[in-house]
Amino acid sequence: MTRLLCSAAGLLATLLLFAAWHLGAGAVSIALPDLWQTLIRGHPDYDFIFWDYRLPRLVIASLAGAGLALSGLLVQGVVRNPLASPDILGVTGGASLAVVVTTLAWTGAPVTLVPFVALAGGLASAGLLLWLARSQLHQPTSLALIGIALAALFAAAIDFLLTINPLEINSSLIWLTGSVWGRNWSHLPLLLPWLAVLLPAAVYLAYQLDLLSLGDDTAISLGTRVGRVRIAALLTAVVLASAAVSVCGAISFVGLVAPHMARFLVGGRHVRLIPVCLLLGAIMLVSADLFARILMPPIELPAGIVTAFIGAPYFIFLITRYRHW
Amino acid sequence: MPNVPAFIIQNLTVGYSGQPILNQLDLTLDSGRVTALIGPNGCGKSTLLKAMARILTPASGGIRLSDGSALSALSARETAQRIALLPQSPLVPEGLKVFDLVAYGRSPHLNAFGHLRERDREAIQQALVRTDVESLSDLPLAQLSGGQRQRVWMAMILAQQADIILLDEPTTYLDLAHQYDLLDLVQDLAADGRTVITVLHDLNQACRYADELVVLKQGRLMDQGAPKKVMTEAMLREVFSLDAQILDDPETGTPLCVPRARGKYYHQASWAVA
Repeated sequence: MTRLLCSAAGLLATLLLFAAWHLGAGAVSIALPDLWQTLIRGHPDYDFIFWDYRLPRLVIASLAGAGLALSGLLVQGVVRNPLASPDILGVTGGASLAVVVTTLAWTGAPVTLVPFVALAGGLASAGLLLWLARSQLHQPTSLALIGIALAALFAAAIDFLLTINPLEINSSLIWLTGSVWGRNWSHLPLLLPWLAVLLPAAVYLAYQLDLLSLGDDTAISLGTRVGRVRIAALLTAVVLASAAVSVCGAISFVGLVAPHMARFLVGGRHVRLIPVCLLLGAIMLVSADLFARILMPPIELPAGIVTAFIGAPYFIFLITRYRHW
Repeated sequence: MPNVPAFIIQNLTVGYSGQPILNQLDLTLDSGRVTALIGPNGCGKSTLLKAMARILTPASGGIRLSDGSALSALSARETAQRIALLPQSPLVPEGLKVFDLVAYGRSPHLNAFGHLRERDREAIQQALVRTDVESLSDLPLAQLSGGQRQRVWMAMILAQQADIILLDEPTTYLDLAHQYDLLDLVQDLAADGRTVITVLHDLNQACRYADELVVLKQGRLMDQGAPKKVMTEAMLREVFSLDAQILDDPETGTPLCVPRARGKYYHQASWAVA
């Protein structure tokens, strides 16, 4: 218990630190006292940049990161495989393909439409995966392999479309790498309701996912309805990832790395993993977005590049150091 | 001993994805004793165990319990309150502590969040003491030896407090001393009135510890009864394709199966000389 509290407190402090840095740094840098004043009483110079530009971006990044991390935790709990992440559910690939197809087919498509297209694409491809794997659901590894094959198929389709339409690829590319750029309060309703509903669902599933980690036979003999838990957890994960991807694009590695880090910190029980995972996911995406903005100003890198640059090596380190599968 | 049946299996056909392993099996297993399922590899021992634990759903036929209720009519939770299973090679999530694993045995009695009440803690404590792993309860499972780990799994099953305990080759991977420790525990459980049904590979251990043997071959019941009755040279030849003689175990008087000499000892064998 102390380990959970210490981890959570440390992570919360880290998140606040990055949040303050995130709010303060940028083309116009705001000093810490001014940040405080803007937050409490308002500040004529910074009100717009703080309330309408950086704060929504910070909130969106936190929620999307948290959602992706939680989604990854659920997927790994079901698949019992370290390579599992929301990506293998075809969510990212399906969402990306849907966005690319829409951008190409409808040149004047309003930007506000993109999240909905992505959400629909993500859900549709996850549905396709679950349908294809319906007879293999008791064998989670098959599910993962079918997902990987689907992801490859989507990636090929995207490459094909971008190659034959080279002129329109720019905005698609930014979206595909994942970015929090230009996100504002209007994106919040796309994310918050899902989290509000699915977080309790994840907490409800937590203990049964613990039992699932003992293997199907043991879990069944302990009275777990393995099939139902698996479907419920996968659906929760799919919707969480689709919602996050619909707002932020294809952010890689958060859903893969955050659950591993969380296990490293607080062990294998899902009730404890959930809060730690949420915080870790938020920290990862907020810090990635921060570095994406401040590394090479005035150029804004897509946050997805940063998460992959930091996430991938860290993931390799984690896997070689710690084997828990 | 009154022979109340623990399981009444009628016309059971069950297998994997349409391939039946057990074919129209009729079998009644008594409660309150140790029953060993024996037979050559692939004979359907584990399949039968999984059907009794409701891990496999019968293609036809059914299984009823002592009170006459059909196994398939119980909820998953009710089943788990009455029947516990130790699979052959359960997964061990790394980092999991002994106490936490044993606590999972309580899950059929807990709410959806797994909250442990006082009587759950008592059951866990008793199980830890009974299997002699109390001193290990704070250690991660990964740090234990094979023998200790198997005792911890037994503790989980005991914490479940089910009347029927199903074990799938519980002595595999254990060294000889630990095998006998485990089997002693199994016998004690039956003495307490629990029903133990276990798959065993070692025929001599089966004879020594089981009250009743159930012999399966290719999904069919070949024989059933007390070890003295079932363990014959003819049965070994027919079911196991093994030439062996049956002696009396000098320790227990139960049948002791000694395979006939072959290979380099062929000429020393008494029956070859004679």
